[in-house]
Amino acid sequence: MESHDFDELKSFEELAARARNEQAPEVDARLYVKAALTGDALTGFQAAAAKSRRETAPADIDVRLLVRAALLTAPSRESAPDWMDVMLRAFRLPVMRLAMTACFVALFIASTAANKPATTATAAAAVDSSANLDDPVMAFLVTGE
Amino acid sequence: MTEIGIAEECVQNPPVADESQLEDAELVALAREGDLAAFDEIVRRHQDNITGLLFRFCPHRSDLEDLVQETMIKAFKNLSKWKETAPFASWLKKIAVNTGYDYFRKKSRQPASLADTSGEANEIALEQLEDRAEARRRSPYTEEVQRLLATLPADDRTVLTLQYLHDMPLQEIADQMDWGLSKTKIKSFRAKRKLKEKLKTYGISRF
Repeated sequence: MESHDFDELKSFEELAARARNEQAPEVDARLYVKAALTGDALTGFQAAAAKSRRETAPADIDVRLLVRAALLTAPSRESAPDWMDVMLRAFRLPVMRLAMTACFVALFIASTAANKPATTATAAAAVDSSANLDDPVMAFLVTGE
Repeated sequence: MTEIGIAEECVQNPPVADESQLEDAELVALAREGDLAAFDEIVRRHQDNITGLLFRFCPHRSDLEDLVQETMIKAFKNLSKWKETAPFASWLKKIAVNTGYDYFRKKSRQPASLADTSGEANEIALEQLEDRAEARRRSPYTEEVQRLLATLPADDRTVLTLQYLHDMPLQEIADQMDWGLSKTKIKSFRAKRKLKEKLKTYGISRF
């Protein structure tokens, strides 16, 4: 049993001896240390960018199937446009915005002008009709007399 | 003076001396006064040795970079504690060993888990997996040794890492960890016994 234990540790020691021959990667901590000590965001960004430059793009990317699938499922140009989208895009233009605002203002003024005599006429009609009210309480509430 | 204050002063008054010609002690004296360029030279000069030491603790590149940075930042914050009676490189090495020890302690408290539901934790876990895969390609033996040691407590793991992977004598381990030689010998003996038990339980493939 003891010799079995010894063998296992021996195996570990052999493994460790091989590990000792492995080299550490090159690490340049200067930018990060500087960024941490100065609190400078730009230096931090430069350090991150330097780290990123070491990374390599995966070599086994094949997008052919994905592209084909995207082309098959994409809406065709002949289909009807999304009118809401078109209007929203149009409203983003300053000229369109100004024109539509002017239009709304004009509509508001026109509706105010049209409602004014109608409101007066409606009030007069109400007074007239109140005179015909049979109920004296209702007549008092409407006319005050 | 705050660190930012030191940094600002350094940016405003760049040093005129050529740092690469100066001794460690002179650079430390300048860095203590807030000369970040002098400290930059210290980092440049010692980072390879520190990386080599911390690589034994962690073969995963991104964690290794973090450990090297952490060591250097700790050194900067504690420059006033360095006494010229000891070589600066030994003092820095001690900080690195303690950083590695803290890393093992942190790892034993928070084992990485993909079961965590938060996106950020998953991202970190995935990054760790990629790192591990890269380390397995580049340094398979260190990765395997650390995998076997991972089940041990942090202090046992530190002793065995320094002893087996860094080939550090027990007296030096005692000095680095502030343990005393007898305590270090006992720790090493017990750590080996625990490792034997683990190897017996989980097995070890022959290389």
